[in-house]
Amino acid sequence: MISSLAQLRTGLQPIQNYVKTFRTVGVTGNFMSFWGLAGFPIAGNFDTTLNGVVLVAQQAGQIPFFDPPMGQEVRLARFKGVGIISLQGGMAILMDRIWHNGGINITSTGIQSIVSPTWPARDSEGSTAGRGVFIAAEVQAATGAVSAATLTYTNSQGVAGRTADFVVPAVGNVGAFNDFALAAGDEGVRSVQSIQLASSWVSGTINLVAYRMIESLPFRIPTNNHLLDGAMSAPRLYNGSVPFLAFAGSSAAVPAIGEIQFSWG
Amino acid sequence: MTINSLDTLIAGFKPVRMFHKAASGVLVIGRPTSYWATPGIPGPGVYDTTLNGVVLDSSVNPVAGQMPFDNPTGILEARLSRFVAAGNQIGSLLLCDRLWHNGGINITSTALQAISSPTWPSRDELGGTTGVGVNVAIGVSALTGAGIPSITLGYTATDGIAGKTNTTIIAPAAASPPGTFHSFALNGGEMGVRSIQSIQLSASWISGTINLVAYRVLASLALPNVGAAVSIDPITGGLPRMYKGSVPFLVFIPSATTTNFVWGSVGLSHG
Repeated sequence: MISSLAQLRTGLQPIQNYVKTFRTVGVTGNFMSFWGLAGFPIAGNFDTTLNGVVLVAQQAGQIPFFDPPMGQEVRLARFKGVGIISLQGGMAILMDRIWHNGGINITSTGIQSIVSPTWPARDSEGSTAGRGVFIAAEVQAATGAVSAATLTYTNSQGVAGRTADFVVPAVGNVGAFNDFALAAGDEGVRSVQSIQLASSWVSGTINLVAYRMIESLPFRIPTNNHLLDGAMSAPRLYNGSVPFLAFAGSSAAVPAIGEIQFSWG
Repeated sequence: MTINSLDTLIAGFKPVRMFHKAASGVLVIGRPTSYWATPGIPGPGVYDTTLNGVVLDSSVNPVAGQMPFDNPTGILEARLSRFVAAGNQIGSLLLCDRLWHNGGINITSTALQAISSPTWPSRDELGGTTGVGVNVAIGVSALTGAGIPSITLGYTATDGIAGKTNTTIIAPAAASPPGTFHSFALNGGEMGVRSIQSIQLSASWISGTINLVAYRVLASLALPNVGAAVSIDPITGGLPRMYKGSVPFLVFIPSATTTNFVWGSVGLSHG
């Protein structure tokens, strides 16, 4: 277990760089995902089945992540981002991609049943219960329209039949990461049972994603370096993690360049 | 134990907790709004319906509406190590601990409405029950009517002296939307509110629902640019202590009437 600055420094792993081309966020307050973007790492893939697949390293599209030797844990030791264009600031979010699906009928307003598999043991406590695991509808191909939607899920306490809509009105731009809210009292999602669109999105492709926020990096000034190191926060990542980046900020297009570094101990 | 070194801080880091909340209704510039009952991550909270109200404590189970809080065990203490936030409008975001709230206030009555609030949980600034640093606000949970009352709170201050009164810092307005959060002023020399004895409206607010809330501010962030995130860390944030049973929630002070969204994360360390 990493319990000191010295251990954090001793266990530093090679720096992982990321360089992603930019895309339009859409609306301030909406998240967008770099998963499907070309760059470094390469664009990730999407599933095509409603039940989806759990994701375990290494996946195309993820920040490279390697399991430590048995008995050791992994911490985020460094998270750096650089704004290279004089755009408004925002927030880079490092997430762990736990599951995703596909095959959603974009024009249907019926209940589309999903039987998601058991999550890998990567919730905020390192278990499969889903505490700190949330769901988003990621836009793979731009949609013709958007609407509200009802996600039905089982919460991290094991209570089924929970429902939620998007936190903010969805957008249909490629890469939009429309996160669902939680029902009252819930702390995360254990499994997904269905999705129902309020009206047809006409065209395009969306995929549900189960994710956990690892850490967030503020971009207060667009053209500056922004750095988080282990003395400010050293969140844990679990074996098999599939780290990827999302961004929330102004409505302008944003590039992503920076470094991520893990520590073993 | 106490967090007294960088090593104990690092050793005690807990999982980062994300939030993404939407405000409801048309905001008023400079008028605080609470995210307690709004949708998002975390989900919405509820209100009590009794005048004497209930204390709020997450020691055993989380309270619906609160930000997730990892309760420290044994002799460990919890400190706020990181608070990151952005919003779709400029304003100020407060992270607060919700100690108590009530309901059942007659919004059309101008009579003195007696309240016998229970002893606060041991979560004032000093970890006690005397209310050091504890403020009280009147929150709107259902849209109010066209009245514009002045609201007087009757309370006992931290020094134990009863019979204190004061009104809200900002005057209530007609048609106040859900989430509106008016703090009461304190009198000279007072350090907080120990208990509440009454509430009285000077005029009917016609319709709607209001609730009193006892809360303590843990940290604040100025959001100076639309969409741009800011943060405090163990050095810049001062590591404010969060006591066992904390019920964290967010309050926003807007600069525009735009429907508001905030997003970010909270980090703790136990040591």
